[in-house]
Amino acid sequence: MGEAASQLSFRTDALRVLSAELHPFRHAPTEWPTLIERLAGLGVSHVTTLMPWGEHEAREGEFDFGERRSALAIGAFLDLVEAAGLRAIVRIGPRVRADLSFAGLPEHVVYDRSVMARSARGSSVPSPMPARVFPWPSYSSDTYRRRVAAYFAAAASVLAPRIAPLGVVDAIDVEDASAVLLRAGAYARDYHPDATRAFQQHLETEYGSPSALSAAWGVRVGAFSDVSAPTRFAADTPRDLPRHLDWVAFQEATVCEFREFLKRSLVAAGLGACPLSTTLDANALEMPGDPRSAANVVDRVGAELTSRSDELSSVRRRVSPLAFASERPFVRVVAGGSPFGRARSDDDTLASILLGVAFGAREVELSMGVDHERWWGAPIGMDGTPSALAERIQRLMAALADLEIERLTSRPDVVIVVPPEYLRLTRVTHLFGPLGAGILDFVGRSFAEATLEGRFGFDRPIQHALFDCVRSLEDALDASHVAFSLIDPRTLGALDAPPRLLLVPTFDFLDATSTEALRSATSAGSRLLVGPVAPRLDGRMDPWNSTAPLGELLVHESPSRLAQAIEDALGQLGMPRLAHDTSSAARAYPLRSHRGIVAHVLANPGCADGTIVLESDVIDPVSGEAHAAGMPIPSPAGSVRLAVRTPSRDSQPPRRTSTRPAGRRAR
Amino acid sequence: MIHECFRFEGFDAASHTALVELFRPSRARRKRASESAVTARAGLLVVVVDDDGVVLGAIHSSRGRVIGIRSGNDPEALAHVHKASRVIVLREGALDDLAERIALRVRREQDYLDQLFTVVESVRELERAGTLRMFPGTVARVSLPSPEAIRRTLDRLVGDGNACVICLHDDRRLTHAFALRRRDGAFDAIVGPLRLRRWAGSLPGTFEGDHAAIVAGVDRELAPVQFAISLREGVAHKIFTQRTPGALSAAVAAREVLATPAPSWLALGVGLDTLASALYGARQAFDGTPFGDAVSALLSTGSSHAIPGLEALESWLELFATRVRR
Repeated sequence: MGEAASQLSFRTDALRVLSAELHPFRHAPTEWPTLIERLAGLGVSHVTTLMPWGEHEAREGEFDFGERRSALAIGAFLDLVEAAGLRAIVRIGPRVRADLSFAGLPEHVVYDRSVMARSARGSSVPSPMPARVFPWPSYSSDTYRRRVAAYFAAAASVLAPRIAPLGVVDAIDVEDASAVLLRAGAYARDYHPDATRAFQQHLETEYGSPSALSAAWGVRVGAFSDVSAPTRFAADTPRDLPRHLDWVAFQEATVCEFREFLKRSLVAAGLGACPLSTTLDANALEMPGDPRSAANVVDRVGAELTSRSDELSSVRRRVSPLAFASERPFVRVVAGGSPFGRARSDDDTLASILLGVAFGAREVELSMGVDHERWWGAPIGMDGTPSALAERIQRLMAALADLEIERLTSRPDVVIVVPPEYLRLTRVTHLFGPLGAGILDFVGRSFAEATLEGRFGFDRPIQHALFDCVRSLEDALDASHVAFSLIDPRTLGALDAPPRLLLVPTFDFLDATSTEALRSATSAGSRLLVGPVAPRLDGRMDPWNSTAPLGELLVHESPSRLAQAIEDALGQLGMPRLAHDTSSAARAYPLRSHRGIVAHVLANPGCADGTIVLESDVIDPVSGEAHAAGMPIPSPAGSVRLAVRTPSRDSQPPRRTSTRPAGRRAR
Repeated sequence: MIHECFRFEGFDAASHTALVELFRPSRARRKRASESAVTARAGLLVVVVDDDGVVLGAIHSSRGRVIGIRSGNDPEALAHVHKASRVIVLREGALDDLAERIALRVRREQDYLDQLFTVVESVRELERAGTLRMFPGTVARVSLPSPEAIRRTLDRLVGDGNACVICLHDDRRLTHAFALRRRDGAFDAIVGPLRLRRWAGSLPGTFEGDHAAIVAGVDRELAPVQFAISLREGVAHKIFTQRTPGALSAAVAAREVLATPAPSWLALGVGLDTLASALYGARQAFDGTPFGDAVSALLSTGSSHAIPGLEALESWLELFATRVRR
């Protein structure tokens, strides 16, 4: 119960991936064996490593994989990893970031004029990251793509002989999520000539004929080759919106298409046999952008987590959509930090891992595993000395291996479905143009708060209402103590057995793709609650061609009525509830495998300390604390911990045992 | 300012947090600001208007989205009405203009300081053109030092090939410490407390002893120390947060601030601080008289900020002292 039927088939052939990142090019080769040994000591199965293009091709056309600079001998490094009994994941880029100048790209590439992304006025688009501002490349640039393909071909000479099953490399990771940069304003870029051509082709695919485009955009279009991209937002009525929403949809499609290009290039280079992975950028709602499309191209789809221990909602938004979209959802958890990143504690690192697993991650990468000259807080220091975090990581990794993390499953039967068209409206109405969400995050504000106030002829400003609506649904479901996920309609449409209860924020318009996915889920037996507004227009702002209601309409204006309606639906469907504490925000998220519930992640994102009572004996493998069934387990404010079921109290002697009776608050 | 091959070493999660929080409002501080914003003027209000002055949207750094603003013509009035300590009114597209100006001017061969200066210059131009307005004060009218002047100031603090050290001490132990090294005109190493402690060996556990040991360690392992300063935490708060007149000179006299070697600007700063202390006394004594008014005017305009190098250091240490006290 409580799990979508589609995931009741537990994976039996899954590969276990518990990995930690090490950058060999930042250390002398003589240090590699010690550092690899220290990582092995953490209990990881894999070492994630980087191949920064900017290091391997510092001069145009001159590749160096250790021939000149020994620290770049990636082949020798991978051989050492194999000799240590570990496996490898290689992040090949082309952009790896990793606190490198030019995000790891070669300087001669980013300063090639034909590679640079363009602003609406044709200028380059500077990236402000220290140590040097540099022009951002265009994903659509033919020149950029040719040079990426040439780099992959060169890298294949080292990697191809080392690809699994004969070699040590189990996955190649492409590109890198860049939450700040990719969420930059809708009109900040990319007006590169190659991008403009791609936009015209995109429109041709979407609309088929210039007349259809003319009708949707409300302008006369003679040929697709005449169409230019909008350079600033201007809209008064719904009819003015499609051209702007199309522009953002194209930008999203470009990211997906670039990923497909990377795959084609790797196949052409002879690396096609290796599973691919990528991490996704987060959209304005913190959800990964189009995980379903990513999962169609790569095998592993992941989210990078820099969350703090009380940011449960953020992790749920980032990770839970992956569990429905990909067979191999993973989290890349940032351990420690760079000079320009968020300041995080060891507790935050452990909490991110656990919350990631609670919301569906089945593989874990630790970034970083070893400190480097621009990184601190990893479990292993630059000189190989384990930090205070190392022992806790070691215990957690051992516990996740014992739980067979790769075989756990997490697809709740309740989901919030977020149509991407509303998020696109948020992007085009962003007040701060080229500034990304990072600057707002820095001052503790949300991207959604900095959007235009206009209604554009709708019932309310959707760009604001969406976020209020999603938050209301999350609050109501949390108050009802049920496990839930957030997904997008494209993922929903690809599920054979959709979740039983779908909550969908809907407003005046709804795209045909979203409508089709929701109707299909309803046909398959899902119960659909929509609102606060029943859609009356489609994505092209034409009247809906159906009079049949999409689903039951929820009233959002009254939080108590909303909560009651959701509670009623949950009750009617017999949804199981999470173990929880009535006086705090503490809840227990079950981890299920073929053996049933094998553990719980206890999380308390609130401000008040709480306790959780579970029905079986459990042990926290990180702290060593054991708790008997029926006894309250302390769940302090802002904490996240693992409680693994134990067969009996005698089998694993506890270090400390809670003896307080249930009902008494533990502090 | 930042060397392309910069290194950040010797930190752990706690000291990283301490360092990053220097530049970022903490959650607690944001919460306090949010609470106080209800009654007091605090935070930044940004209002975006169209070419006709119609308000398109507004956001407050503490309270989030603000609705109901009708005009951006009077930033000062907005600050009062919406209880913001600072207001920026942007014309729609101003930030796109800014990005464009930066893109056209930032050059490949510039270092980060020059590039940042280009950004600031571009902001000033927008303000002069009226597409960006601020309250209080304006960037356009403030005379900014050139990158060269900043480099010369930094040379006085920590010249090429040298290092500087900043330490904070409570009554019993070293609590925070950072060292910076300059190379090729830019900072190429920021070293945190873990590494500094290792370089220093066993710390004596006294204010003077710890200062000497840290300085010797940096001198030996990183670069010759051009200047080092250690402050007792409470004193740092008094000097840089409360700005109590006379606190700096009193602290130096009582050896609660240690500087090695004592640079000329610090001596001058102490002198001015003593003078300010005397003037505050005079203002109190002659309050309500023309002389008292004249002293008040002098106190409000004159400051140690006239001393090259001291302003930057003071600002940095002020931030440092404020954050580490939390």
